[in-house]
Amino acid sequence: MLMKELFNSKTKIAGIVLGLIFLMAMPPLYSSYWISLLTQMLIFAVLAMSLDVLMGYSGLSSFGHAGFFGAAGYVTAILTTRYEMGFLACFFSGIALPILISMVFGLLVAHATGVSFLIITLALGMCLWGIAFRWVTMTGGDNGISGVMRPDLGWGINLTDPLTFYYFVLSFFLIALVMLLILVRSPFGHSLKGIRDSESRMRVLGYHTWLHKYLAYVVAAGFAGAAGVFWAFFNGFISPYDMDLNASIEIILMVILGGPGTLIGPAIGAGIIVFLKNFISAYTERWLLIIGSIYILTILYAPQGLVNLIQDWFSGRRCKAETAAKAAQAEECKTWDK
Amino acid sequence: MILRERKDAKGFMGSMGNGEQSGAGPCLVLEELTVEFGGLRAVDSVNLTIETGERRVLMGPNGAGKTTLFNLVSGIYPPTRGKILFYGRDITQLPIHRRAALGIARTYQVTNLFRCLTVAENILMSCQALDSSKFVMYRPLSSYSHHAKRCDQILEEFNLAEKRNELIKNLSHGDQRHIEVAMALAEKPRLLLLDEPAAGLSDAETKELSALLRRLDPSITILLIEHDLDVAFEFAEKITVLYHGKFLTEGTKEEIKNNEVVHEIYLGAE
Amino acid sequence: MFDFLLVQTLNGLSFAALLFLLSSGLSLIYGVMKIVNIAHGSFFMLGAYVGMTVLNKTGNFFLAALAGGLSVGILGAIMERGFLRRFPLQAMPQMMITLGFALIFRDLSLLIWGGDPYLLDAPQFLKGSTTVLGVVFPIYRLFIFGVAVVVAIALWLFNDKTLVGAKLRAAVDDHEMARGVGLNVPLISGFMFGLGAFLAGFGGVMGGPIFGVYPGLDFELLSLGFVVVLVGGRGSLLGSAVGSILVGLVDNFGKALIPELSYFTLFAPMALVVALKPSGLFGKE
Repeated sequence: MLMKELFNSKTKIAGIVLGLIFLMAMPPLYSSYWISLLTQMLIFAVLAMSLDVLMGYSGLSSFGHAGFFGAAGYVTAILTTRYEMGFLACFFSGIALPILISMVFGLLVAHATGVSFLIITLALGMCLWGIAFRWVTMTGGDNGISGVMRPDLGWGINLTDPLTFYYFVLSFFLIALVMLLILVRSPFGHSLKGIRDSESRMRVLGYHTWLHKYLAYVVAAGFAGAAGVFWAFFNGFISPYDMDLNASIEIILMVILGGPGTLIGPAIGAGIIVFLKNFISAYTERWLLIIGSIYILTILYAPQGLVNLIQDWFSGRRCKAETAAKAAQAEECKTWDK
Repeated sequence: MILRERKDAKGFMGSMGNGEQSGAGPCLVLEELTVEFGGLRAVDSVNLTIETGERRVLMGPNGAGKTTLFNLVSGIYPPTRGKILFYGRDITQLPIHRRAALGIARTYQVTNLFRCLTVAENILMSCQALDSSKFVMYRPLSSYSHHAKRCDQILEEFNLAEKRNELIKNLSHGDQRHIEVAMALAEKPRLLLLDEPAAGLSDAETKELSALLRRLDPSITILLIEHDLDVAFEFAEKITVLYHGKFLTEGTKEEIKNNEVVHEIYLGAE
Repeated sequence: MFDFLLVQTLNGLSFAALLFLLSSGLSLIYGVMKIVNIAHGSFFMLGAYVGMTVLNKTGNFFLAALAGGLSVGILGAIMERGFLRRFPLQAMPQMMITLGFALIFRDLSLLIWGGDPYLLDAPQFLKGSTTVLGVVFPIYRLFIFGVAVVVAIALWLFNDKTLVGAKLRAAVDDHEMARGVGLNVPLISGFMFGLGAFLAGFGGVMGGPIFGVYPGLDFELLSLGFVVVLVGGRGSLLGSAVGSILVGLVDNFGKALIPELSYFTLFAPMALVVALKPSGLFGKE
């Protein structure tokens, strides 16, 4: 038992060190293809982690999360291409818009739970997509907005250089990771876990669960927006396809694959999905077919995700998915609890 | 021993506004409390008065409306008619979480703990529940020493210290029932609603639970639902019997033990 | 002005008809079986594709509609029996599986029918226009409204008046009891899901001559379908009907009046309903 725990934490440390080496020390040696891929992975890792705050830690499956990602991307694209604004303006505006939107949407959404939450967020996400798609004068409609240039930040940081941009994104990822780790270990984060496990108990204990869910929704939107800003700069282009239902579903896949409620899991899940998408697309067009099948297989055989699966293997803890399954069943029995 | 600690003003006493303190007036008053679900009156015009520090047991055969009554008092759904007064304050329309802030705590008949979290994490959830720190996002929970200390106290008191890092789902049923009570007590409530704490416990575990109930702080008012007659009679100062949602009779242990009607409804219900 | 209102209203109603065919199945599956079917829009789209192929081969529109509906219905039943039944009453895993299938269906339809949009050919006798209250309006659009009304009545009769309908409701309300009384729950569940899928697939073919079929139709309609279920209330046939009409009209008038923000016009009624009556206009608590 003790050996298992030691092994577990040693493996974790080894993993972190290796990860840092791969991400920080070695990139100058990589080809431009890999630099580009890693940059993408890091951006989506932040996006996936932001969704994990909702899905994994609060138990709220949002099917419209890509809406915030895309909205920030559009803000960035519009500000750079039409108003030639710099990075900071784009970054703060890019985060501000999703936060404002989520503050409004949150009023509708925070009351909901489980399946209703899913449906409402799906519909809201599509509303945002619809604006991107149909407000042609502002967003370019189906064609999107292209020509998003990466700025030169001065002090030798020229983001047009792929390697420099990569390190910039890496710093963003590490900062976001630390912030989110602090969040989930904070009293607020602890409350979210309680809401996930038993919202009814939380209320009886004295928690204003609506407010917690609302705040979680807004915070998650903010981080998703931040990722969206970087995506617009990375891709040089933003379109409605970056924020449609398909996109929201992909983020969910990343969280599920990696393991909800672990932060690192979804980050790794994002890396895997981005890699697979790029890799598979080079050989076949049947990306959706493959990812759909992987998805179904994951649900059938490893519903708790990869990271949890690996952790389980080390310590024999098989909690979250089973409990989620039982909770769903128990939901049917709790006739007295509204 | 924290169980016997004098429960001092938690700050919300003053904020209640009506200036009452524990001991002034009855703790809980139910006036003509009624709730209807699709034509069925689960609780029907119940009147109840419970004094501070009382040990009251709520009895009645299955379906008598006891848990429904608890749900009304904790605020899970509003009554169709009637009032609930807590230390003279009308809380009938107050949302669930605000009742907890006033000092009402409850346990569940079907264990309702945070199964994916450890024992310590569960207790901590209770410790921070009424504290504004629960909205803090930038500091780790572990840095709040007063919560950690309170959690340790509770774990000690309930003999759970060695199991503090066990996941709830891995614990025995008996331990879980103990934690149910521990969670409710962590918030230093003034009114404690215990819903069949002995449900599913073995004889030995039940004896342990009875001992625990006896040690509870006398200044806490306790309303207990319990099917196990031994536990109920040992604990009760006064017993209220419900039948089909209606108030049937009330009295001391002796009176109820010798009450013919009560015997009938229990035997009849079997 | 009156002409404009009338045309837009009729347009909205014909769109509502398709929405009804889509959402009645969705509401059925969601409200009664507690499954959130992310693949429901895919059923609509697949039905349209299959219908198109059958139409091209046989030239018979009604055969195509039937084929579209039946093929998708059977697909749905297989999906339910083969995969969803593994997670009875567990909303999340079931939903995730339907999601996986939605992606697979999307790709398969790309593979089989390609990425070009197609418009189905309505039957000859339904082509052309007629005059309604002094306004010229396509016959076909009136036709689908009629079809939707017939289907609505049929569903209502089936659900409310027949023994089978009662059995279905019983089976879903309480699996154990239903099994105890001798109802074949697996068969019933499969049938329910298949019926919902059939309605969607059938609707897809019906909508073919007006809206066509193209990749992306699946998720666009899924979202609209969910808005209808949200507004109308889950599990309620009346809710599907009223919700479809509301959404159809709002969407259509929105497109006509403020095309750029038209998707957003759906947001307003949805927000209103969710805020005031979270379970939807006719939803059960």
